[in-house]
Amino acid sequence: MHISSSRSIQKGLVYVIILIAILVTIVPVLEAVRLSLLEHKEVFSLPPKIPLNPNLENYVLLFSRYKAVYFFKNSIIIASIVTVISLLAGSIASYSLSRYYSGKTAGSVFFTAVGYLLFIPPVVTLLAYFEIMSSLKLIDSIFALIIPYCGFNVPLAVWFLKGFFDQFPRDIEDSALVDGCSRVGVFFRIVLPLVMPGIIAVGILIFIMSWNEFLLASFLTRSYNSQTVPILIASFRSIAYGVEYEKIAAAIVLSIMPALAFSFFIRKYLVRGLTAGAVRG
Amino acid sequence: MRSYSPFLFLIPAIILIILTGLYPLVHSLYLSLVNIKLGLPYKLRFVGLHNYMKAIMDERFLSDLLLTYKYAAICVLLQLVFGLVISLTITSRIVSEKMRNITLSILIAPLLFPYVAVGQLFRLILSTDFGLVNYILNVLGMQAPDWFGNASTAFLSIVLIDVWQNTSFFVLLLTAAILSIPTDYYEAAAIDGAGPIQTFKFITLPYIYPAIFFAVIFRFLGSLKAWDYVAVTTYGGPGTATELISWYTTFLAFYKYELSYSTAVAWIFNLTMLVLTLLLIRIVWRR
Repeated sequence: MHISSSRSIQKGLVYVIILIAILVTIVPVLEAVRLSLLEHKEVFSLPPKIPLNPNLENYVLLFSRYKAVYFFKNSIIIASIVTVISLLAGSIASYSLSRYYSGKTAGSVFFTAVGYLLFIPPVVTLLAYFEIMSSLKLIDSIFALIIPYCGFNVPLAVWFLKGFFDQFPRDIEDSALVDGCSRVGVFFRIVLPLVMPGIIAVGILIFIMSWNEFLLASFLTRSYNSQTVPILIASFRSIAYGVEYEKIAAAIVLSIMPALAFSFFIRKYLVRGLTAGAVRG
Repeated sequence: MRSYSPFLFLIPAIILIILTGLYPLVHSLYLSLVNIKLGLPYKLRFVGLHNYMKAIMDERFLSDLLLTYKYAAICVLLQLVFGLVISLTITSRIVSEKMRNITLSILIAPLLFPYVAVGQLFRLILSTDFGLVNYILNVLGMQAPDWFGNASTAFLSIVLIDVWQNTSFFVLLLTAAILSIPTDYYEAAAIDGAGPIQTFKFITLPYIYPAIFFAVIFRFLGSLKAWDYVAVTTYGGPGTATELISWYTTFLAFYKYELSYSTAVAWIFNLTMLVLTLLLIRIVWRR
């Protein structure tokens, strides 16, 4: 009797904690969805108004009046280019590092440089990028962001992919080498297809990091030519209405779509990538 | 040919890293040693460590530096506590694998949200006019604070935002670590008559310690760099109550036009992080 009652208390506690964690996570997101479906004056009504016949007016206005399409287009182009470049350069470097430079000074120097660049606060290089882009006349072009984002994400690709290559069994490669396959051939025909899920996960992460970046985007862009989604989210003010909260809410909802779409897929790969296998999991 | 290919594989990454990362870093070091002011007339001069000396004497910089470390320490401590509680809960035997995976997928979504979006989201839900949090506090008959409006709650608010978004980083890592503990450890402990607290202290904790250590350093470095939350909520205010170091450097550069000085400030900040950064790199590389 005693044991079963303490067990049911334990069970209850587990479910309560999980429920609270889930509610704390999703209620703010649902609140943004709710606000995004209201008219401006309805935002302020108390008790909070539930949009029973939701209208998508705010989303439409984002695209018609606020030219959201330019921000999304810039974000998609910049994030895609950065992702492709970082994965191409990062995957072969990370593979070589994992196979041939493990425990060697050269490898350790390279990996330290990579890690240092990955963790450096962006404010350290912000003004250098600002100066360089100004002198190259690249301010307000998408390259003003593509270049620094590669500076952060090539190291990220090397760091994250190392864990996947470290765990890849060497015997398969060795037997292919013995069979006369070249190292380049082994990489492209054998290793790459097998670590593809990891590479896709890291690619998604790089895409999202570029999609989310705000600090450099605030100072290296000026107009629809190059501004990205975070700038759109930060920008809503109107003289007539004050701050347009309902449109901010709509922009928030749109901006988190890639994260919502991908979080289920990359959950499995995040741990191994983050810690490069240094932490059991 | 064969013996050259490992190095050839590194070349594209090395070239890209030098051009897009290392060169700007070196240029930034140069900027910190001269006297450039943005948009103002000046005669370019090499001033050596002058900007660094000025920073060490700058009381606002020193108090912001302290505030930033305090911010990161509080954020990480709260995330560790919540993350540990949630991880231990969802790895409990009562929770089925399917339920655990669904819960995890929901909880980690905010990790991938844009920081600006999360900052704006909290500006909405902590609003004094229509915010959900103050509405609930009012219904419960409690005092509803002006979250971003006064010094103590403004600091708490940006801590809250960081904790909301990043606690799941701990959940993710610690859950994976706990699940990798071999079950016979627990069976052996049960045979020896260990209670839940003893089991946690002598089996779970030592086993997941590397994961905790890694997550703490990783997130600590992450919170130290915070800029986006401040940029959409408090702008460093009220007064300098939420003026984190990254915000102060951009304030110096783009409001005071002190380009060189702000770069020196950023470098000193970066140097204070160096030991932790190198420690983290060592953990990962040594494997």
